[in-house]
Amino acid sequence: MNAPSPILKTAHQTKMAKGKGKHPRPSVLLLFLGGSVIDSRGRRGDLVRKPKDIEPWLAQMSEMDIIADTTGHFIGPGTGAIGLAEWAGVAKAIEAHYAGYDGFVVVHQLETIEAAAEALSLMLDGLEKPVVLVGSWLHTRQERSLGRTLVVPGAQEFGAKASFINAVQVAVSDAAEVLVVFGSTIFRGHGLHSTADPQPTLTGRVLGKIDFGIRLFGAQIKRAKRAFRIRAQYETNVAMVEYVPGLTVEQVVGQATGRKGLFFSLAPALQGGAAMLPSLASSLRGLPIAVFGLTGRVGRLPSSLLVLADQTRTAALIHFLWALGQAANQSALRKLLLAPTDR
Amino acid sequence: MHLYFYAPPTNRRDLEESYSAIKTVLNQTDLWVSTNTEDQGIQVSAEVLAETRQSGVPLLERMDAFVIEGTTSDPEVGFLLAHAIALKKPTLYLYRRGTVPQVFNHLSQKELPATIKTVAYQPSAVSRVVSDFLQSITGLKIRQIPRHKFTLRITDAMEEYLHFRTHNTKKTKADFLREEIERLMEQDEDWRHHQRRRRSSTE
Repeated sequence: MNAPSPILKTAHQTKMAKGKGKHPRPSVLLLFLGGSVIDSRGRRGDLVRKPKDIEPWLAQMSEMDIIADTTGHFIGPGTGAIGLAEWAGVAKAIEAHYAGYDGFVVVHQLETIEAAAEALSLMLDGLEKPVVLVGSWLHTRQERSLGRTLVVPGAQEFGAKASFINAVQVAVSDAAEVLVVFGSTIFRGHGLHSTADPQPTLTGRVLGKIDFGIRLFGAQIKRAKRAFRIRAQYETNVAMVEYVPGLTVEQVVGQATGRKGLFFSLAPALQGGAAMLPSLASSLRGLPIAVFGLTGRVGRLPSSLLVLADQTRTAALIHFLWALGQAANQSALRKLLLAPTDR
Repeated sequence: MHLYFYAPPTNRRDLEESYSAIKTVLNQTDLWVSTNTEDQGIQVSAEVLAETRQSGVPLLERMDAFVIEGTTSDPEVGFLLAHAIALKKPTLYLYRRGTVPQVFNHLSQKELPATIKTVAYQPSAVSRVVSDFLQSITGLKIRQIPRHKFTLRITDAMEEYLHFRTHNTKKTKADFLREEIERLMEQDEDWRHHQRRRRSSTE
């Protein structure tokens, strides 16, 4: 991950700072981690690949300054794999600048936005300000040549700019949690599910809609009662095993030995794999084992197993890695994993 | 063509009258006009509605033009203006003469692109300002709905002539007469001079 960049202001904001503005204005920090393309030609300022791209990008998106003072902070280019290390970087940057801004916009690679929202929902505890994730569906020619071809039907070139404006408007709203702006919908960050077929869509719990303005459904807006803190530690030394016919207990034990946890998942059509769970629990006594994908009746399971339900596989895995990084013992781990995750 | 008219909620009677005058002009056109100023204010074609439902793209992005009354301070005004600039949509930004909208504290008029037209209006001239804007964006003469009833007695020859001119056309005799009067108005230099004088006295 690249070193964090200094906060960059647009020329317009510098002018404002010199005293032209008379009214106190909301301020929003934009954190860049891919998904920033506003023109697929990929010229300077069309996307943020390096810290020095932020200023020309903000200059091209000066419309956002009508809503709030916007500043940029570079997390990473977001062109390759994005994971917990990058999301922990986002959480730490938000913590570092928390007092200075009214809201935060995470400009994020679109393909992994639902996993990012899940991770940040866990890492940012006691939020009193909005943290809004948004990503452009446009790709530069260079990105397309690398196989990134996600296309949103009906979306027009200028729609990417409109998404960023929507995100800034949500970031100055009364919502105080991790949110995702996708098309005309504002989703809550936890429990999102993405599909790519027949077209890229997100499903999940809706906090608001965008038609001619931002409409948040008031009953779900809440302020945290706890002080804000980040919980960005996570554990990656975990064996991930997906059951396939023929897999043996010994093979799984071999993979899990020396690790800090085991994430064992079953496909809906391969529930027979649940039969090996008691033996696994017995052979790997003391090792946290999370089980994902149990759908049917499988008889009595050992109580030491952590059965994760009502989540996507990605969300369950992130939740497990994060909880392992937080918990000092099995009891705390169980509490973090199985307690309601509405934050 | 779809147009969105936004005006912040207000208790000021004078502003409400201006809102009403703006809507009257908009409603005299064949545009799809949506507005926040009425309870059932969203009017879009079935095609656009289906398209936005299918793609999940906000209705805002499907508008062809905006009219914003931005005299009073309102966060939605900034939001709509930001969209109008980003989407490069023709926009009429109206505010009362003698006021400085808050949005211009953060953005000078020189920074606005040519697609955004800002007009400081006198209440008596707001209808004309809106009408001129609509003409500029549609290239279409905004036709007022004829509301004045008029009884005219004509001779047999005139009646025969009207029949001759409108027979086997889709026009009625009344349409023909209205169009002829409009043509005369356009060609009448004295009338146009009178109109120009009247407009300059109201500005």
